[in-house]
Amino acid sequence: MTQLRKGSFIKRAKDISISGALALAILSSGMMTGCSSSEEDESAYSYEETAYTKGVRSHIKEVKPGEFKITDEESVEADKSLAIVTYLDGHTDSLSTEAAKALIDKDIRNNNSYVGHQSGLSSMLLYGGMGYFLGRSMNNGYMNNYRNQDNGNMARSVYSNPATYNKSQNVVQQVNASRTTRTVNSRPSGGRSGFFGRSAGRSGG
Amino acid sequence: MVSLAVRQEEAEDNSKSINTRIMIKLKTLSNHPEKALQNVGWNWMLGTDTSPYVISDMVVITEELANHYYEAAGTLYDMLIEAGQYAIDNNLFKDMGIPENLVELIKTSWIDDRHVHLYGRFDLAGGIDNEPIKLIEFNADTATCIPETAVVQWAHLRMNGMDDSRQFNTVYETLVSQFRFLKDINDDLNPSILFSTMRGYAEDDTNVNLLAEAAKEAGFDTDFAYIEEVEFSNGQGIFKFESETGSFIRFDFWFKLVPWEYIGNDEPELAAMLTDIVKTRKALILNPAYTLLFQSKYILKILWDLYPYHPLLLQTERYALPHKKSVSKVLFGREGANVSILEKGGEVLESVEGDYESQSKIFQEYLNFPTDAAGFSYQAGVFYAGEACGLGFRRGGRILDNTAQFVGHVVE
Repeated sequence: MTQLRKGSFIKRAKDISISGALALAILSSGMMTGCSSSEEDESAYSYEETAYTKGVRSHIKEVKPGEFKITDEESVEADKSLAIVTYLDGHTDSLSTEAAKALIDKDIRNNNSYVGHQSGLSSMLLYGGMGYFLGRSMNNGYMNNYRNQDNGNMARSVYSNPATYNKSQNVVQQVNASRTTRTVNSRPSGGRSGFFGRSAGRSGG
Repeated sequence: MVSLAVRQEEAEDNSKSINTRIMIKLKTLSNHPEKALQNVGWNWMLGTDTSPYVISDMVVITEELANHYYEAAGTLYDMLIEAGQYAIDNNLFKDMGIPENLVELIKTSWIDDRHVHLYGRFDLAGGIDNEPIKLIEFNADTATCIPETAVVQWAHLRMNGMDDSRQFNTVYETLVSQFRFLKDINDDLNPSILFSTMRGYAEDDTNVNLLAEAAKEAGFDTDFAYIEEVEFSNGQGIFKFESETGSFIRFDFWFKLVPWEYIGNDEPELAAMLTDIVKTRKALILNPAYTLLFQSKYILKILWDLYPYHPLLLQTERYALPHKKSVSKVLFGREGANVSILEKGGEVLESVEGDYESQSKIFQEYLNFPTDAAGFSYQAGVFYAGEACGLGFRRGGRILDNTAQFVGHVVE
């Protein structure tokens, strides 16, 4: 009927592993003092893969020294996901998903208080389709939260223009919908929805 | 003359109660978690149009008391399992106010260990100053206060430069372990979970967001849809409709912050579909239907019958206690609604109204909650997710209702 696990509940500081998303959001308020257990944070999570078949290819361009914009995003097979960065001096770099994640994590760690409030490369990755894909495919939920933050206004601003952003929304939608084994395109047989359409009242308590 | 007599009586009563009142020790922290809450979008906790829901004070408790709460919750959970079995064996569903159309699902989930009770919250009185801890009730099905307990009070310590290990709080980590366990024991199902609330309650949404975060960390693919948008199919399971692509995505686990008794009473067709979906293992539903056995306040009477005078229990009957002050509660009331305090024999002293008046009631022995210097009453909430894993307090008047504030704690 139930299972019991015994353990000490008064945790030592190093054991604290509040979820990545929440810890980062709260810590990035810039109000936190005291020492953070950063080194332990990452090893404390064991990420497990959920399979997505669609990924994102992100084209990013340096527009001023150190300032970037996403100029295009396209839907590709998940394992072909890549960020292609073109610098002012004309050379290009290809960032694998692992490299993109490392760059995002490094930036979050060093710049808690203003991550994303700048137009650096890691912000392009984090708010762009890459961050969305990474969050989905590796259960790095903390990346997902950024794209939808502030009604998506920050995400809009990392694209070179509204049309590019709109296109990218379609791309991330395809990532989301690519949970193929569980997706059907016709209504399930005998399907019904609309329960509690006239909401009764608050249910928690 | 009459009014004077009343006043004298009141004065006597007050002096008596001041002597016997157990005092809560508070610590006021200089940094309020306001900015952090805004940052994560939990503005509902700031109560801009009401008094703030999260406050700067923290309750100071001893490590010994934290241990007592931990042990009490474990003992009570074991007793609840006995009481649940007793209720099933004696077919007490009707007395418990449980809709008949959920009985089959309750029995199905009860006998199958894969239907893990994800979490619940004990509401407890006593504890402070070595007073005996007493069970007020157990929120087994749709307990809230998860973000406040798991995150806010922890952040509150951190932002005041205090040692965050000095808190009885592993709610988040324990939920992650509980989701891992759930996934492992149901390895025939796809680790995908859809979370649902009823539309229009930011607080409920925040609670399931935190659960979703824990599920994600445990390796689940997670998503959210309001219950009115969820697609149910007897033959195929539970789906989220993606309007952009016109496709339906199946989820093998479904967490609903929607009370089972609402489903049974208000949406009988859904109750029937869910029974079918669970029995054919198209999806596993959380919290399981059997948590309704614990959620019905009638379980408090069953506990008293099975464990009379147990130190963790208050006497609970189907009638107003003739020789003791008592509290009447409807079987499925929430947040203090339809609760009354009664004098010996049944005269009503104080009431909170609500929407549940038509339900049957139980009567539980009255006990003063510990209070602080300002006269607020404090109730301890202890989360249980496979084991006791966290503590938080609610404070308010003698009946804690939906205006009660959340107060964190520190172990000193």
